[in-house]
Amino acid sequence: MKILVTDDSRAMRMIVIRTMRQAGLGKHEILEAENGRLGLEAVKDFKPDLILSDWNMPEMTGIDFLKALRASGDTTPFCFVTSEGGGDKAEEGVAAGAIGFIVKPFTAEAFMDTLGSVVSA
Amino acid sequence: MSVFTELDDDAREELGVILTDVFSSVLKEEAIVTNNQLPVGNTAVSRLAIHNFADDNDQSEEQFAVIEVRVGVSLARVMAARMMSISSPGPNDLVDAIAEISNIAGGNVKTLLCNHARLSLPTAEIIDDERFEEAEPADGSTCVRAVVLGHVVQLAIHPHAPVAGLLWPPEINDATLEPTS
Repeated sequence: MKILVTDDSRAMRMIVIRTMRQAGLGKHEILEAENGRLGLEAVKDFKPDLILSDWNMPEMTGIDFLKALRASGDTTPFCFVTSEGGGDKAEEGVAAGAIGFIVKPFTAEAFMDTLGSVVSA
Repeated sequence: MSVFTELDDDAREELGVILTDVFSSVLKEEAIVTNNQLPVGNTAVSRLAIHNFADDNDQSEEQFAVIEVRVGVSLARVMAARMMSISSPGPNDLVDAIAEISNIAGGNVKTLLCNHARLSLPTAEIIDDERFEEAEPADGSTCVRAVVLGHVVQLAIHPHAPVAGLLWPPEINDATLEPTS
């Protein structure tokens, strides 16, 4: 399985990847991107099976990344991993096509609960 | 009155929970609220702003606050090393680590205090030899501190701090995201 992890923090990208393993979601082919614009470019060649993305990022936010993807017809499962845990953001994300919200700080259990049905171990 | 000022004891307690949760989650170490003061010396500090839309129909009700997280550089090195699984983090790694910590804390503070708000991007730096205030500032700021790995860390809300130098996430008009063909 190919997973694209998009976050402007290198530290958080590494934590997300590590937590995926701790959640028992297996080892996958991972590609990292620093913002939504770079994530959008990466999707074309990498063709991920799952996208995990922060919300607030420079150059292009996660929600704009998701909207651009869906506008292009891409239906790759997209999950936010963000500190933006407020209800309005979750509603906006789901309305745009996100499959879930994992709020920072998170646990391995949160990854399992949200992504267990999407990610093959 | 701003949602960021005159916080009651319950709100202060919740801020302490946010601070300890963030550090204990990221470092996998126990963090405990404390009244101890921050150390004097080199410090990693990160700031971001919350823009609270108190009322959609009344722009005059908009409120801002700066959320600030401070840790000593020695703890920042441990944080960066653990977060990135590296043995010798460089200055940029320390800045990245404290920025992400403040981003997580800021998002949780926003959820705690605001109904409709946005967050700026964090701006972090290493400050040399800064001496900290021993008492809580009298400008409406609120500070909570915790001990983690024997080091004191601080989360502060500054309702009157300038936000002009902080960066906001870009806003893209939905029309530009529509298919072009």
